[in-house]
Amino acid sequence: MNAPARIGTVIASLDDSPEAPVALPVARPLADLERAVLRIVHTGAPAPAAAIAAALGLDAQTLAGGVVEHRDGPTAAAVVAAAAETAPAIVVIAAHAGDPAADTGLGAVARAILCTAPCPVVVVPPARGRTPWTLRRVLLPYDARPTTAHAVCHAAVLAERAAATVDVLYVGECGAAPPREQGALPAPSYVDQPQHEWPAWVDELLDRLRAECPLDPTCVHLSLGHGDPGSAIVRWGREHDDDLIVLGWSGMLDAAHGTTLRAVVRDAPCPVLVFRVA
Amino acid sequence: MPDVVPLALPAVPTADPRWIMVESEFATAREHEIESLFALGNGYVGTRGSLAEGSPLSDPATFVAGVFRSAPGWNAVRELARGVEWVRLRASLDGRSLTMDPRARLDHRRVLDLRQAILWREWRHRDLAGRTTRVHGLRLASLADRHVLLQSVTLTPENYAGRLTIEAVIESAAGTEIGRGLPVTLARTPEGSGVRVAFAVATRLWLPGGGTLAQEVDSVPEGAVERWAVDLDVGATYRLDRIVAVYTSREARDPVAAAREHATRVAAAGADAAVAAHVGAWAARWDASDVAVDGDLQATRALRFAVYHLVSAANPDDEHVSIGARLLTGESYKGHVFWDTEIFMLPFFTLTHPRAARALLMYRFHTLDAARAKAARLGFRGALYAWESADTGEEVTPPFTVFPDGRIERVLAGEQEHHVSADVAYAVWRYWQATADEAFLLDAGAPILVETARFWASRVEPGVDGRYHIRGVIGPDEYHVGVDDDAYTNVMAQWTLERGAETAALLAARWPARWATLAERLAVAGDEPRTWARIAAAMYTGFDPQTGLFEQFRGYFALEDVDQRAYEPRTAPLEVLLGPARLQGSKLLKQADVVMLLHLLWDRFPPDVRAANFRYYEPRTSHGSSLSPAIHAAVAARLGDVPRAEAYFRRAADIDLANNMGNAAGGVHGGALGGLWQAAVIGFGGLTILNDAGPVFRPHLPAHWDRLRFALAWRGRRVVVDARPGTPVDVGGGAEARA
Repeated sequence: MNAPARIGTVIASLDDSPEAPVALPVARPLADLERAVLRIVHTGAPAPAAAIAAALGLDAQTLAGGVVEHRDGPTAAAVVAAAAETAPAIVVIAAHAGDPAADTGLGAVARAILCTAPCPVVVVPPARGRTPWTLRRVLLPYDARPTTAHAVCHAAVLAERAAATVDVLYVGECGAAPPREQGALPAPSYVDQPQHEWPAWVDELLDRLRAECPLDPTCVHLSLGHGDPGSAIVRWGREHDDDLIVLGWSGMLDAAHGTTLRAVVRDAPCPVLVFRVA
Repeated sequence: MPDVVPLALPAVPTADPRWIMVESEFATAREHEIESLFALGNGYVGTRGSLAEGSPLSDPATFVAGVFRSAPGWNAVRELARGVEWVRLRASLDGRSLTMDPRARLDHRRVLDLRQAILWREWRHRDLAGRTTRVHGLRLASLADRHVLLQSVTLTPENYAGRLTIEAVIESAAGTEIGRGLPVTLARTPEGSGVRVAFAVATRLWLPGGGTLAQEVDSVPEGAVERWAVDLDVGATYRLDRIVAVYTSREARDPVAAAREHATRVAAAGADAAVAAHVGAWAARWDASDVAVDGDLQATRALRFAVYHLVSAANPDDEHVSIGARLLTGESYKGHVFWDTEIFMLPFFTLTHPRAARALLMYRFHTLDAARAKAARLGFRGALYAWESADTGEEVTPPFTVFPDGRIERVLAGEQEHHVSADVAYAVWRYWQATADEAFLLDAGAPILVETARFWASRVEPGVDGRYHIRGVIGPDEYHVGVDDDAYTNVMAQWTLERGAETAALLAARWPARWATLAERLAVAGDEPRTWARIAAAMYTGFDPQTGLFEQFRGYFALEDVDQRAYEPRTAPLEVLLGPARLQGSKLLKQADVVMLLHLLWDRFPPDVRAANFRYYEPRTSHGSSLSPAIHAAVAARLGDVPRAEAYFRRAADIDLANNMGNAAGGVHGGALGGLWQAAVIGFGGLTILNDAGPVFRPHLPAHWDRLRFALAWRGRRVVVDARPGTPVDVGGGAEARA
């Protein structure tokens, strides 16, 4: 089992857009869970840290142990540079400022950060506003590949520290070929004696997941969905009031790739933590 | 024990690629699969092929046949109990363990040696300081002495000297009694089993100059540990031999004493002698059961893999156990016995190792009372065998299925899947045909045939059409439940009734006194066998002489035709994607059903009927059971559709070897392995058993197969069949060849 890298910094990206502050209620508790430094990276009109804090309405409790800094230049470039300098980091961003793109629900800045950040990114839907955020329930969509388990293993650390339950969701679908990766364990194409096969598959899949991703077995539940994965994930997140969706992503967002990511970041009812999968 | 042993391993690995399965890569996530595929067994005890030092996903397990425990839980049923985990070894240099950490792994190879039934391991490990250690090992479950498991490991420091600590750990469940002294003994009675299971472990560490190094023995929370601290010389080789003896209270009054005495005795003779005896026993078994294809390495290996696991699962000396669906290679299916044994595995044993087949059928004889009780509970006479059976023969099908989406459904197979009683009768009759074992027929076979015929006679219902019907069953196609007049069930019931009547007539004619005794003991009324024959003659079978088709069950032809190709590719089973209601309302089949009939009762149907039914049902079959592809391979081959047969043959072989059903982690699929053997021998080899003329062969070989060779046993004779394309089949050993 690999030990997940310790996150040292949680970067909240704040420009002058009205939606940007929605990152803060997520970034602060996330930094606490990570035992990391909260770094608020402000872009837009230059201002001293105190002025930025005041403008954002940041109290001492929110800022405790944290850093407020202003960076010049385009927001995405500034945030990505900050992430590279403080690696390993996690970036927290609002999904969009202004009109979102129809396919992803992301604004141009959020999309640029997601695509270029050298670290995991949390995308926060603006609709949740500045409501306090607590991590009690994590949704972990899982395509049954060891590399995905490896990529998202940090989610196990978060869940354990938050004493959160983890819903592992496998979505079966037509039109998708089973992954060919060694050790992948998609739902069986066929089920011999279901009274034996389903419990065995659940146990085996969770064992394989836990071999890469140290999840507390008592807090993990596996569920099986079917249909379009993006829709199934969002539906599950809504129905079960999940606080965070943890998603592995290939890093590609062209027409042929990223279908699930697009649907999830566009429609998710909660923040989405995106990890790159090899 | 000898004073000096050569510090090489006590055998040499087979190099011939037709006899070995090699795993050179190491992917943690596949460990459970590898453990299943590389499991070792001898029918008495089975042990998974786990890494000795373990990995994040290792699941070492050892099972003793027939030892079932009562598992806790609301949906629990009896399940195969785990024994102690005896393969664990820990070696550490300066406190750092040798592990499969990829940074320290130079070379690594695991080889399942099918010919010798030995699991080999070759490993070179280099630690952070650059110290390279070569580790070679073997492991086996002795076929010569079924109470013995053996592990031998050599360790060579290639480029360093230093102090190495070796720990041989024996892990056991809470409540295990650990004996003092050597050999180490561990004994436990799994909850609800009523069977005491004892392991005795005799371990020796041999030094390069001769002699052994004494060990410390400790109790540790996980069980017991034997520990050595040895100063290694550069380039020298050290060998650890671990001999484990296993006994239960089923065969020994004091299993601890028996295991201790046995381990001591075998250790005294030495590991080399134990290995040699084991290899010799396997050579004899291969001589009786090998099947090989010249010109197709993959096919040969797949067939030998099948034979290896089947032989590893059977114990001809114990007629109170049978073979579970996953043999003794994993926990899936809880060690339960299904129709897989009689229909898919038994033909292999009947035709290569009749003594093992006999023991397996005797298990059904010894569980007749439970089958009678089940029939009575459901309101029938005779014997209705459990759909899932364990140690007592009582029904142990889990009452509910818990789906991953949270749904909970009742499992109806235990109440409705009645064809198993015909399947057992079928296996009994085929054994009798192949062996002419009169003692078996008189003592056990006839009671089974009588009681199963009697069951069907009580199970049928007369209809207004003057025919007999069987309503509310599940056939092999388990997508459709509660159906009426399932063709497989009805025809097999008909066949069983005929054999019941034939058995009564045979016994009355040839052994009248024995028949009189048996008829009295079983309360067979004078006209009962005639009633069986009369019911059989009037059984509704769903056969339409106009089309030549059997209707799989009443109403089947009116169901929705769903093109399953429209759902490919997919990452979930059709049950999930279509939903159970749509599936039940469709013509999609889970597995060979009518096609299974063709396979089992080939000569009962004319050629055009066989072809028509295969053509109709094959495209509608989803092969949602591991049992299905091999039977389709066999039938397609006998119909002369060799390319289709070969495609199904590959698919059947890949069930375990490529884990193409995604469930090999819980053990290999014994039924599929038996089916693969049948696909080769009955399908491509074209074996048909004619009632009055014995075996005949009409081979249909794939074009690139140069030759198919296999050995069979027929009424005490060894028959060697040698089939080549375009030439008459050569049958040695006395059976007549028929082109």
